[in-house]
Amino acid sequence: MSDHKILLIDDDFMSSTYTSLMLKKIHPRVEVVCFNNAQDGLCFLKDTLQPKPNYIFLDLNMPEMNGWDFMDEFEKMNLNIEVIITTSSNDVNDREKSKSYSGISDFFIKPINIENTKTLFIRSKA
Amino acid sequence: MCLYIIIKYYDAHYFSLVKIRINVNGLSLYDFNAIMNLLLIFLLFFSYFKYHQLLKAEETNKHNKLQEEIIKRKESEESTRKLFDDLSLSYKNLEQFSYVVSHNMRAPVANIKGFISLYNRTAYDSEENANIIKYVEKSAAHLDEILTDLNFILKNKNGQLEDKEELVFDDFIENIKQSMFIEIESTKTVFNKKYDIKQKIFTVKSILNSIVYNLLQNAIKYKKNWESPLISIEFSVIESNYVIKISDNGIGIDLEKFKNRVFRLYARFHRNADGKGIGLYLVKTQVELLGGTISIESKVNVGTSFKIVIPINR
Repeated sequence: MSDHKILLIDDDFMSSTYTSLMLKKIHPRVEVVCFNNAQDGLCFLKDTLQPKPNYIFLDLNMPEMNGWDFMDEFEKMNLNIEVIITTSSNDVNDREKSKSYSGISDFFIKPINIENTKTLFIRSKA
Repeated sequence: MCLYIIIKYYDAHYFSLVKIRINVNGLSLYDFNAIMNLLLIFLLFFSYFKYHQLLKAEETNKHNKLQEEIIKRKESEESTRKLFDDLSLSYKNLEQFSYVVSHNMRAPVANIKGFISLYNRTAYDSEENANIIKYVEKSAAHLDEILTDLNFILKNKNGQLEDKEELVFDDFIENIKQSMFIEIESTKTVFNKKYDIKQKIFTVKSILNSIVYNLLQNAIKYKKNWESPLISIEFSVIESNYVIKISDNGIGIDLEKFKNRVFRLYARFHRNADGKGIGLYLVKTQVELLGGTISIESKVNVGTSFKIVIPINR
């Protein structure tokens, strides 16, 4: 199994704790980088010294810069990274909106299902 | 046609007058006839004229009444529309409230569900499980906190108003400052009072206290890192309203971006502050409880200013 590097952006500390625990459980050698706000996440991506992650797990509802604001900035950077939206409310509008971003590959409702995440990794391996 | 008749009879009349003058001794049948005819015509015209006048007066009267009726109906329509607008606004607020509440309760519930799914059922005593239990506990506490806040908000929304009392505004402010002594000292906050210290206010003390306390707390909490807070408090009576203005020199809010969200429940604008997004929502609810309104002006890195207008006789 190849190693994965995942960037986690979520302002809810307990939620990102769960996600990183879950990721480590299905993939012991996974590297998770956590930020509690979108701005720091963007800075991390812009930092050329940092190796780029394979996935971004992105929360939508955050203060100052929300998930959509992040996506707008992220698309300008032209990076080939899969973005997975993780949100606690199953909002139809959000789901529709996520389809308008080519970088978004999945839309997960919290708590993120272990099986779904496994499928995600298997898909990328194939 | 009419004119022709008038002229004809006028002629007849004229001639008859001449004749009368000539035959002073007696009126001929012809003269009498002419005069009577004339009188009749005159009466006819007069009555027609009067009738016309009456008709016109009645018409204007009717017109005025109609106008009044229209104005009345418009007024009632206006008030109905206002009622409808108020109702749909409060419905929208309620909808927003329940949406936001359900969303925010969902987050810790999702966390609890998530952690439980990670629980290792084959090795109960593992260190991993001990951690998970700790996290479940924390998430449950978070959920409890949300419910407690919610309870507090609802209590405030439907709260029975205490009796109003007369307060010396400056004493009232000093009391609040006393209760925030530690925050004020540690941040070296400076107050600038822009009101007459003898001025009084007649209101529900506990509610106004909570409003001003929350705003002052915010002014200190969202201060700039490199500057001590400077809070100016204005108080005046304008027309039949109390106007209170609390301004700070803090980090401000980007209103262009967040204008519609400032007073919403769980709205947060600063990533580094530990706010829960309840304070301003509560402030607005309480201002409305006093029948007043609150507005905000703000500029990023310049400061924020809240203006509260409360009607005096309510």
